[in-house]
Amino acid sequence: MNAQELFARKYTGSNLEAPAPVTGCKVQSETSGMICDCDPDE
Amino acid sequence: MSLPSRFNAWITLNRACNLRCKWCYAASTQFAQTSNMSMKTFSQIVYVLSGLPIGRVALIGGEPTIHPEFWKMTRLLKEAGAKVALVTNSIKFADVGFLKQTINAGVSGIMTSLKGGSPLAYLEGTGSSSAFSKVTRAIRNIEDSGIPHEVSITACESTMQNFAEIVEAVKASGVQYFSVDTERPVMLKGGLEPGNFPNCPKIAAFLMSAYPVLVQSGLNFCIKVSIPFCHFPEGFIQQLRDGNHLSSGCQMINGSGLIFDPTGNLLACNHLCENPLGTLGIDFSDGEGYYAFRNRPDLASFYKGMGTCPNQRCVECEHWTLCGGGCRLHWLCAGADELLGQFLKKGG
Repeated sequence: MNAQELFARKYTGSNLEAPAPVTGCKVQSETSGMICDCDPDE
Repeated sequence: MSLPSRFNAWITLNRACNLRCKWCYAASTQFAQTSNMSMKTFSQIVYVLSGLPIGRVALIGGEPTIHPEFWKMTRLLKEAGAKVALVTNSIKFADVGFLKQTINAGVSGIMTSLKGGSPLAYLEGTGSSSAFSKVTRAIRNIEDSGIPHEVSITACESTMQNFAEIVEAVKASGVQYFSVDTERPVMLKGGLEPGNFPNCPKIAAFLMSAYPVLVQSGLNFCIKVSIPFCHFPEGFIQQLRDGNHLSSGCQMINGSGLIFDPTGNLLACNHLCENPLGTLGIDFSDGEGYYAFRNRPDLASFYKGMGTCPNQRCVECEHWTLCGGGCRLHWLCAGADELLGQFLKKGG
């Protein structure tokens, strides 16, 4: 099953029109220069 | 839905690892030693990425540093103009020569994924008693090299219990930047792994207890919030924002990520490793082909759905643009009754 089918079958959310796009909140580390975001890490 | 003006990519070089973390989804593949990405697949991915506006490419695993062609792959990406980041357990960087070769190959930033705060914690969590001393040596080597570096921990049951010990270890290692993430569901064989995944209230309670420990440590830190904000008091979220400690949102919600598994499958998220969106060489072979793939009705519908509100309360919530209703993987495992909170009163 691909991700599209998985979500079509199991997603419990309602798919309501959003008032605005999700930007999230990104933290730019002054010391490391890395951007902490949602990494699909190991 | 228009496509993002810039993408980030994650390339999973392998599922093999030099640790055996008991919480890792790669355990389901027995940390397959045969799962190394081939140079041919890697080259095809680089070709696709070179035709797209890419901000950053992260090499991940398994453990990418043990891939036999790790440096060769890094050089190829660098030569293609990519900014290459590395997500690693850093054990190999206890050898300063290995670190120098890695930087010379073109890695421009390292995220060390820490597994515990003591030799005992590593033994219990990863099966290796020597790993902790190697990792602490590696962290000093990386910091001394001057390469951008952050240490990250993904809090699960065991690390939640030993968090103060972990913070002390991070502080003692001389790390400049520390990020705290929390475990997210992984879909395997159509179900949720691990079975004892902490629920949203438990994750929220942990993060609220972790925050003062982090502040007191004096570390520069951020907390990645992947559950709906309504599990916290509103003042807590504001406190994180005011201190520049809040990280939220997700590449899957805004459709800005390309995640490749070792065989060239394109994933929506590495936590959906058995449910690819498509396959390199079949669904697309270059940047232009990727755009066409993304505009295919099933893909367009998938990403449009990712950006919608999962519940009417999200539509009306002032935190929507930063919260986004939390990680969509949670919404595969539970419904709104479990996943949405009530914005706790202070002390509630």
